[in-house]
Amino acid sequence: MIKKVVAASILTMAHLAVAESSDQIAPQSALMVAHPEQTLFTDITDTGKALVAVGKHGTIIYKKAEQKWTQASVPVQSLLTAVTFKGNDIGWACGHDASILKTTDGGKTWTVKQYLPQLEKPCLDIEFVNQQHGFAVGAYGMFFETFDGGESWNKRFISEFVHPDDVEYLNDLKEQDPAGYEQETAFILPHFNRLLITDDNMYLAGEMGLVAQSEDLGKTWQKFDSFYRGSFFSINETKDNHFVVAGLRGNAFIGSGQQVQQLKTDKTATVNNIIVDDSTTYMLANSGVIFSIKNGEVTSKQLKNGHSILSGVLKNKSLVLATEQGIAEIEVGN
Amino acid sequence: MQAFLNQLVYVIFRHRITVVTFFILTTLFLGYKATQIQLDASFNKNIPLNHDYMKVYLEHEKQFGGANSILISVCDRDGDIFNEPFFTQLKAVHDQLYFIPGVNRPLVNSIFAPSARFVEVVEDGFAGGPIIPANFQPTEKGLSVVKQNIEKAKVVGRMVASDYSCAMVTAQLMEIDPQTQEKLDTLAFAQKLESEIRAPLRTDKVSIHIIGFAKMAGDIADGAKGVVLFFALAIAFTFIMVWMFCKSFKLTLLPIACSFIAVIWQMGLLSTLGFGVDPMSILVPFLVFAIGVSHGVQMINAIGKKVAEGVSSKVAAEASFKALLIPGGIALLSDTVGFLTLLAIDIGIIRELAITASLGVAVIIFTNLVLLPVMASFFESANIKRIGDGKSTSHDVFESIRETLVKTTDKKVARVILLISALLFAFGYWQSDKMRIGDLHAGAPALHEDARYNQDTFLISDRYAISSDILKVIVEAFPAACTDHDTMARISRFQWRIENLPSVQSAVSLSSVAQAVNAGYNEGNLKWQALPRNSASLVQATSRVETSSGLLNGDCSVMPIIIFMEDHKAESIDHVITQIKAFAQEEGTDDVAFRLASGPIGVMAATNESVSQAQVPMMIYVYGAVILLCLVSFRSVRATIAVVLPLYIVSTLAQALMVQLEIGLTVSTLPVIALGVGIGVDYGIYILSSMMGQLKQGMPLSAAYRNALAERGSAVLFTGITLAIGVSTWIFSALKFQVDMGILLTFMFLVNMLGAVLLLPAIGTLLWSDQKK
Repeated sequence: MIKKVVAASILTMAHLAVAESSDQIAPQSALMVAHPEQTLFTDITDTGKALVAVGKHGTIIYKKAEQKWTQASVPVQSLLTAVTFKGNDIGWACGHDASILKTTDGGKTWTVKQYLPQLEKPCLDIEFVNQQHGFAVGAYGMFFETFDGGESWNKRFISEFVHPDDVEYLNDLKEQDPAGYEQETAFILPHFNRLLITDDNMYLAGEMGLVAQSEDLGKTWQKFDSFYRGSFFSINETKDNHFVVAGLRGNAFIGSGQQVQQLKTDKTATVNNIIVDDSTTYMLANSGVIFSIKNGEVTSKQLKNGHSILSGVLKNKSLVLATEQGIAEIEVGN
Repeated sequence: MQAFLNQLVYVIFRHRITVVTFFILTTLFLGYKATQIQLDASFNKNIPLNHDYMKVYLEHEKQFGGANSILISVCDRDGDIFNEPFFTQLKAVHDQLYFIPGVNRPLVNSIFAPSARFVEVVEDGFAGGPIIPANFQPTEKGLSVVKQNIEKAKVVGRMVASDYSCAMVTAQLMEIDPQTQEKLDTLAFAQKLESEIRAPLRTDKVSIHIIGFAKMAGDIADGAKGVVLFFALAIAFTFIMVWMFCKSFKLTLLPIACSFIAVIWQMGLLSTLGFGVDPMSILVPFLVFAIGVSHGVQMINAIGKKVAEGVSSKVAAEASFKALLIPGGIALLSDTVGFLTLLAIDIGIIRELAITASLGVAVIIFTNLVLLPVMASFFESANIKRIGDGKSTSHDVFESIRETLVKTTDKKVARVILLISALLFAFGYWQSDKMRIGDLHAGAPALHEDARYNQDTFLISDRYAISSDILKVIVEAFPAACTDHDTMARISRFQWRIENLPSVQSAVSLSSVAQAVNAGYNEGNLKWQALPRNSASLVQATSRVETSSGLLNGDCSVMPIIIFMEDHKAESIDHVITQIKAFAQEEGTDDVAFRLASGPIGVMAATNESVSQAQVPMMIYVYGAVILLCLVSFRSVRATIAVVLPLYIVSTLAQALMVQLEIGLTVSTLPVIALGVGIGVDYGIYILSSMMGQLKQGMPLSAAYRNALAERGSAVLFTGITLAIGVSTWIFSALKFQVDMGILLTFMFLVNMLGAVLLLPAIGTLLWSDQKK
């Protein structure tokens, strides 16, 4: 009898222990709330059918034409940082806990494809070449690649960005001590803040002035010579094939090839996102600052409420903005 | 009983000189004591200290400050604070407030406070410093630096008005001074705010606006002093009316003087017991006076009638004493017991009121039922005679009124009266159901809307993003809980749920600040505004937050969530509290408890809950006391119904009136309902006690009622009208609270009187129908 009780209690304890540990890593669904549109939003995209924005507390909201913002069903509560669509219905989002989500119904419901809280790294951007081939990049050189539409993700280490002095040491370590190699490479690279895929090129912008490009769909990367020591948060390509890269404290550069030139900005707000229109390039920044670049001249204006702008999309003649306290919309004149 | 009364009459009226001497000496002693009584307001008195929320509040008051705060908005009259004179005055206000005793000094906050710092992200990490730099010069350059720092520190809307026209200095008050161990004198503190801050520091360029409980109590006390004038007016008016009623100066003096002595005794006793008078219960002495007059007039009326029958004043006084001691005593005793039941409500100010009012009413038994007839027995009969003189015109008037009133015992008339009463009751009941608990208006409802205090409240809520409507939920966890991801995630989720509730403006917690700091550590990139998973990073994110922020204690085992609400309307509070309770259940664990509540809204929530819980028991106690005493004295269920039913209908109607006047049920208005019962019960008991003996002998109702009216009716009518007119002058008071009470009391005096003379006999036709012939 006593044996049974002991056995049972050991079993229960074991069960509890399992439950507890799995509890820690199992993602919890985002809370459905009354005002999902009032939190921090980090990215917004236009699927063609709807606007979809992602943000804090695992919040994803979508809005069709003149309808109201609706909260999507999301299986995680992590802060989401990026969203991208290929076609009207298929899209992906990523965020903290290295979580990656996928939707096949235009953003209404999402499923978890990756959730790795033990990595303690956020994914900061996600982009796809087509509906099969995509990338998710993030903190400390996090780089995941998928070839099956985001069902499975392969981790990659972009060794081109390792400091030349460390290359040899890492190569030795990889052979002798694979575990040590994993540990050593986990935090060695700078944050990858933004990935840009253009028709014939890929750009990566990140911490410590990192700007790199790849002409073979991400297989190999070429770093630009350093022209700034702070962080870049966004990069985009203008209609005339220049790239604009910007980041901390309003530092912005325009270039083509290895020719890079600093843009004179009148405010020190950190740029989070760059949007390219026909003749104007908008840089969306903290404290509600919007820089406009036209013919090499930079002007700026500021949202009255001073809310930092994380991202935006052009819709007709207005900019729909993802800000630190919800979605905002402003008119932009051309 | 009769034997006991005879014995009592013998003892008292044989030793008249001793009795009078006793009264004189007692009055002198208590009068001296009464001169020492003081107005006394305290914050803790207004809150239900034993309510669960308030236990949490008191537990953490020392660390996180209480709800007793003072907000001083210093405003530039030209609408722009960035100039030298403004900064000089703002600093002066900050320094002055810091040194006023009673202020919790470490929590004095403004842009001049050492804790007012800004942090910004630069290429090589953080840069930061005090909002006002150490080398601050009020030059154009210095001011522009300060302006940038204010923006970086994100204090616009809190420490600085959203339009940069004002800046705020806030402080928390301590109930007990830690150095002297003395209790905070709220009213003296309010005085100091005027004399040491507003008066000397206000200039042509800078205006000063002060709100907070202490200031409100001070302003109400100032207004309450004006109440004395209204009392004097009401007393003078009552005097004239009584004189017209009895046509004798000496006789008039009796009820007025005896009632006044009752007030002196009451004040003296309060002072002896160590109580003060709260500004909000300042009308109780007047109520005591009014109830005293009501009984006094009955007494002189009875004596006058007896003298008119030709007996000596001494015999008349003895007879009246004997006749009225029982009904008067019962009425006063049921008042006393009724008020004493208010003690069951665990809010300091209501308990004080219970003691104040029950003491006052109890002493009337001595002054107006004993002293008054004894004094009257010394008068010469000729002085008294006129009151019962058949030839006076008022007599004719009363006679015709009496005949009209007797018609109410006619079955048909009675039916109409009962029908109307039933309709009125139904209406009243329906209306009183809409009675809301808590404050229904912004600012201080006890003051007029155009009072300076309320104007200052409007200015502050207009120019700043946050109000003083703050609710704090206290998260109690374990030491170093702020480095535990699960705990912090629970707080974050809890906060996110709360932020989604209606009438919640925003919320802040250590968790949300840590997330912002984490973004700060990551170059201000908001994509990092999340809780780091590992403890080391959480330590980094939370260690920058100081305990002076009020978001954590020393070992971060306690972390309040501060919730800013749009208003403090009862229904908003109610909804938010209900939801929070549900969230606390869901997010709480064995180690992490989300506990209600602190902050002004927390206190209001506790008070509202206590008031709403107290409402029904209080009514049961008060009516229970009245019913029990009626049953004992009349020994008749029918008589008890006849007295209590009109009373109940009238107090229901009074509640409906409160709904109409938009007076919410609060600690200061709740007792009025009980007091109303006390005022009303007198009339019914006097009328019915006169009828009961005759009814028991089988006399028809109409005849018994006619006799009762002849004996006591004129006094009832007279008192009701006189007191109603007296209190109606309060409409001109400087205190909105007194205006409201004036209207309510006028209503209660009048309608209770009507209830006793119209409804009571009409109900009687149903109860004593067998005698109707």
